[in-house]
Amino acid sequence: MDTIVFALILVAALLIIFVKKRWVVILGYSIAFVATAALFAHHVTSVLDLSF
Amino acid sequence: MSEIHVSALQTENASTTVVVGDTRVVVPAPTKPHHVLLGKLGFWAQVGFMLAYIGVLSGAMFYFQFGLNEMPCPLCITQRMGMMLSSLGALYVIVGSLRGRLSPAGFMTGLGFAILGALLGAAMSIRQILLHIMPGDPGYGGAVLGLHLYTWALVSFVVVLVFAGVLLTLGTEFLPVRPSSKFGRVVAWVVIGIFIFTVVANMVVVFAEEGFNMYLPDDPTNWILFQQLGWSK
Repeated sequence: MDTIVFALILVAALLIIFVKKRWVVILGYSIAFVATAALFAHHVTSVLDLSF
Repeated sequence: MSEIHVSALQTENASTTVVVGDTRVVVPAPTKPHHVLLGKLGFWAQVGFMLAYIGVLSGAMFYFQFGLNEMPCPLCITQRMGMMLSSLGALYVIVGSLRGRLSPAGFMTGLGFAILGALLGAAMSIRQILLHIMPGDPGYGGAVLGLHLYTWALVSFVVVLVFAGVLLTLGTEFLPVRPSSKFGRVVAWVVIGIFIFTVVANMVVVFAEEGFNMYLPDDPTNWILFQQLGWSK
């Protein structure tokens, strides 16, 4: 999964460099962003034993 | 010589409306920096932003991971992703500027990318700081100047947020202007190339660390891909 997310970030970077249309770039970035957030959510497996 | 009688002149939202007879002429707000030097400073500030994250990502990978043989934990990897997402904002602004098509809207899109990436990265690093916040906890991995890497990551994300906040506050004053010299443009493209290489290198290294598993283990200690291929125990 981590490898795939890095690949999505790479694709977003290549879209920024080679594609002129802004909505395509924003779409690519959004997919990479959501994938990264989902990976982070997967690794947050436990509630912190802290009191605020 | 004829005279034009201006019957009204009003300024609203930085644009100026001039009324001559029945004709209204709206002069839009300036979309370029007031001084070209500010624009050039804005351009190199974005290149510096990207270069700083290239340095952080390379230092984490080549010094800590390869030099000291500290395997990055899953949260460390996601923070690298946050730094890259944030750097994509600078990349967008630099490429748009180099290609001569960066509008104020495009500048804002780039800063938006930087802010979103920094917010996500900050959430990740705060999570990891809180995991090790209890007194007596040694933390994860080595420290630099007394702070662990995830704490420095949070510092870097806050710096990005302040950087983007200041630029947005100043509007188009630092709207990047591409370098007039070919050398300057080549340097910017080289920095972009190094950034792409950094992303590819991280992708390859994390594949070696993760192998054909879906996720990284919580506390990685060896290269799983090489084990799966039978190249190491």
